[in-house]
Amino acid sequence: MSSSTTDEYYDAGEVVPPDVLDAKRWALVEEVIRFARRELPFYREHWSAAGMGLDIAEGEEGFRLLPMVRKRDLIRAMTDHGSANIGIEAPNGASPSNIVLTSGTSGFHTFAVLTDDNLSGAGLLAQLRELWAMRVRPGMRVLSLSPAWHALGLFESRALTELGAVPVIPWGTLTPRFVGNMLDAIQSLRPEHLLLTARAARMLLAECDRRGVDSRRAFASVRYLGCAGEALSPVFRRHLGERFDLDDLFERGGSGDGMFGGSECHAHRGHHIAADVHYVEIVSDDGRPLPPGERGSAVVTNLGLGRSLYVRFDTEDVAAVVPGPCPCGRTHPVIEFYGRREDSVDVGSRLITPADARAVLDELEATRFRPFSLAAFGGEVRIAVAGIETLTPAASAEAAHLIAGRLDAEVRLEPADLSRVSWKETRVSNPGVER
Amino acid sequence: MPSWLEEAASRVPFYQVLPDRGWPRFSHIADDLVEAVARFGDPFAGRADPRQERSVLIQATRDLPVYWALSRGDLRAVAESLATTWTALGVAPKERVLLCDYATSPLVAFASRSFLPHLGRGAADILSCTPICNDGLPELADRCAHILDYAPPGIMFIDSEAVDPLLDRVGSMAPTLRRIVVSGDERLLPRDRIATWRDGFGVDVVQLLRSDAALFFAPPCKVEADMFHPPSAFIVEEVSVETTAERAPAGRISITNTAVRSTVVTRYVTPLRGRVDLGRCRCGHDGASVVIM
Repeated sequence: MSSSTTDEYYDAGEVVPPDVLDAKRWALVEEVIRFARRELPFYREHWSAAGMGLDIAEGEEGFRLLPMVRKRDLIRAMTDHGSANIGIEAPNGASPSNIVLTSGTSGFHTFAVLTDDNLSGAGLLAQLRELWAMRVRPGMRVLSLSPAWHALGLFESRALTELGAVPVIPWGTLTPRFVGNMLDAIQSLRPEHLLLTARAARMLLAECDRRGVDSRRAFASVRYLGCAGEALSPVFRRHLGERFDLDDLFERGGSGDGMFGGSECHAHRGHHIAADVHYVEIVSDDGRPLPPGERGSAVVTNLGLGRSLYVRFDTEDVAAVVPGPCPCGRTHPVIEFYGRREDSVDVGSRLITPADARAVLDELEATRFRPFSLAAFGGEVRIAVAGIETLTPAASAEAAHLIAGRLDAEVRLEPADLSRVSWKETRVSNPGVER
Repeated sequence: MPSWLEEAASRVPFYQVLPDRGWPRFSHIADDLVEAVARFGDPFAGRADPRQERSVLIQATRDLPVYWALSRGDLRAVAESLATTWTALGVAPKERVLLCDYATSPLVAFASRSFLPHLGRGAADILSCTPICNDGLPELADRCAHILDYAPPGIMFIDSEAVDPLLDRVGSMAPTLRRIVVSGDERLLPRDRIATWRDGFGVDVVQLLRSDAALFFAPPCKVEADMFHPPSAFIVEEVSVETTAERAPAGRISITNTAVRSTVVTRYVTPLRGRVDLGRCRCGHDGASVVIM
């Protein structure tokens, strides 16, 4: 699947020379740091607590010295203040137009404010580029069930407006009880593009099976699928491509905490993150910046105001900058995401991420597309997989052997406790069990 | 009924195939919409005006396979009606408003220009309020409680199905809330249930009258019980329901929506039983009122 066309870019800003982009980015970083130092109590306190004072050196050197912010810092500020307003809000003179909940993957939602300035400015630009890279075009019918509580939903809604796309909106939310509405909408209103979660795509296929409908007929109008929510394995991509009969499939990724993200382009090397809107560093566990190709934690700094501002916010998502220029021609960095750091396991000096395990598990029929979790005990990786109780010990051992070979680690495969599997709030790496 | 609406209804196929129930011209019920979807093979049930722009295609109700085709003008008009409704419900400018309903519910979708593509200004934008949404799933009561704790709103709109789980979760621990507005699609809950919620939450609880199939909502009267004052974009009528013996004590409420023009909504007959009062209400409202019985 590839969908390269001549109208590849949304704007000329996507292809500016890297040195020009870099200079612009650092100018924006410095502007943001100055603003945060002057106006945002959270950062003044956070930096002061790290002994930074207010005399932060300018440029990259000073920026790298700034202590990172983690989710637990935001949570502590919230609980200390007893309020969603924790001093990272940077409306910059505008009134907040929306409050959103950020991700609850750690079991505790934080909040963010957005103003019209950002929703129609830098934040919108990043989303427009994302949708454009995914082949959303003016006049195109696009199925979208944007959640109104999530920043992504708000940016998506604004971007669909700006692009002049025609949204198809079935009633409900991206949960199994409403999958019938989604499938009916696709069959009757024939959208060309679906903006969904990977879980919703699975739900739709399951609903086709339940109804005895040929999915390729049901999705005959659908050319493109934009999938958020998890890293897609190669096998799962092929599966979706075949069952939806797609021209192209785009993985979307980013972080609700930090409110940034991006999609793949037709080259499918990772996620283009608009470098003039968000600066994403990849850092090691001890905070060292890592070069392209090395995995670490994605740390984001937002480069636009009019929103809750995240400066050196450690998303605790494992990611890497994909080295080399992208064949699509975009000069903005390509970042690949591999899942949550706390869902990953260390084996010796190696990190095995949910995306690594998912890719291997999907190659085996017994474990394909099944929810799982990872744990490390000594040098052994234990993979708990839902729905494999009926595997014989011999079959389980054989599967474990194959997985071990691919992961280059000792592996024990065991059935998962399904009661632990629910949506989003668990540490299970594939929210595939529906409720 | 405005002449433009009669002409519009005469132009679209749906209103040409309605069964004769002895009701005023164009009157129809939800079953007619479902049947038209199948008959015309049209998710708009033959109600969409082909001469109008179609910017947004959105499912009309949770349970009907019927879609709205809405233009930007329609979106603007509905949002203005919703803003009028918010004002009647006591939403103050610059207030934080919590929405515990589905993003596709008209009460949420038309609340913010960030919630619905092509909506220029939602009710919150019109009133300079700040909305925060928690979705409509009843099992998200914990998250709703979290919002009440950390981003306390002055007023909360909530789908009636989500109220009990929230009450179980928070009880009267939402000190900043001064009003809860409950609504269910074409469903009015009994007064004692509302009173129970009022006691449980320790704040004022009122009901909003709502019919998603007509994109209709009406705030309650401040004075008269079970009375609702629809915004001016709606024409409400009572359709008689005859029994074999005598006329029923209350008819069914029919709704004509003059705010939306891309999809023609003329005399949608709801299952709600009641009467329509005309003239000035004791509360000062001047115009048609719906009294639910």
